[in-house]
Amino acid sequence: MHEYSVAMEIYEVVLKTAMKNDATKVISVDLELGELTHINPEQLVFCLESIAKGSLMEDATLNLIGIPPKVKCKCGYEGVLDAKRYHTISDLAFNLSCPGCGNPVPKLTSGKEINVRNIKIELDEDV
Amino acid sequence: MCEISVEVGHDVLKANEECALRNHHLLEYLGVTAFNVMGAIGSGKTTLIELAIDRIGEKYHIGVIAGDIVADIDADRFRRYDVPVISMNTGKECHLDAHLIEHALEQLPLDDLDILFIENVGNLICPTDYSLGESKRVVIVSVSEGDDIVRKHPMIFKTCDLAIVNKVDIAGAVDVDADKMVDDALRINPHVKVMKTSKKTGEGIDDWIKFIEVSTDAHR
Repeated sequence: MHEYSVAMEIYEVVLKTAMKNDATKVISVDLELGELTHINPEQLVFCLESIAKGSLMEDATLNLIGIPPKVKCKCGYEGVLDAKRYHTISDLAFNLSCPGCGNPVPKLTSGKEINVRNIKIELDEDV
Repeated sequence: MCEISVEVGHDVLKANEECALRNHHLLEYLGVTAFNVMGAIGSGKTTLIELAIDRIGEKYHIGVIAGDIVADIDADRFRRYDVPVISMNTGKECHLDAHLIEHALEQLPLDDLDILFIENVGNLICPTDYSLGESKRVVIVSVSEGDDIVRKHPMIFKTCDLAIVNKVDIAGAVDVDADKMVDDALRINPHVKVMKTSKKTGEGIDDWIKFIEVSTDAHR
């Protein structure tokens, strides 16, 4: 539901980085999106495309990279949750448990990213 | 003409988390216990905060940040209690974030406060992703939202310290089983404290006040 403001922040970061590097256009943006955020990828892309119109980022390809939830448990288990067990965020919240020992409250160590990882840009001259 | 790849590494939520951590440290340092009060529109957030100010406003110095999309209606309700109130109109935003709180904190007499209530924007989804720097996260749902409301919004319950099922006096009228809502919250988060409340009958209000007092005294 807050896709627009998230898109705005992503746009500003991308544009700032592009301009700092004297880009003539942004070719692509790699964006990591944790599966536990309340962000709808399609809405986010729609917002980004709308905001980017008329800017250096207008024709950029958005590569969304889903980041699965990872846990770290007192029992020593550290790793990705079995995605097949959790189809939705609701499933996950109800059934979340450590795959190692069954503890219902392991610490979530990833899955909440909205990270602009890197961008590919075009420059006028060879560097 | 050439193409290059530039590493950015900017995480939108992490940037909020960092700001929230700064708020948290400031509030801890000054001995202020902050409650992030979340819940849907009409769940009873304002009323439960008002009840708390009314009951323990003499014992503790209380301040309020009232978040709302527009208007000062909630803030005006709090001002009647003669407590410092910051009205936060978020405009288009569906949640408060740590940056907004950082600015609000600058305007509050934090040195004099024991308790800060932050009434979030009425919404059970967006506030989940944004920490503010609070000490305790409180979620309020009312029975009129339906007894499946908790299971429909699991993440906010996964990350809260206290879940309140409010307006239980009208559960029969709206054909809702309040205990089912309590059970759902506990299934999602076995460590959460859950209470049923009603302003009308007074049920659970003592528990709500006690929760605030215990949390605050632990901080002092």
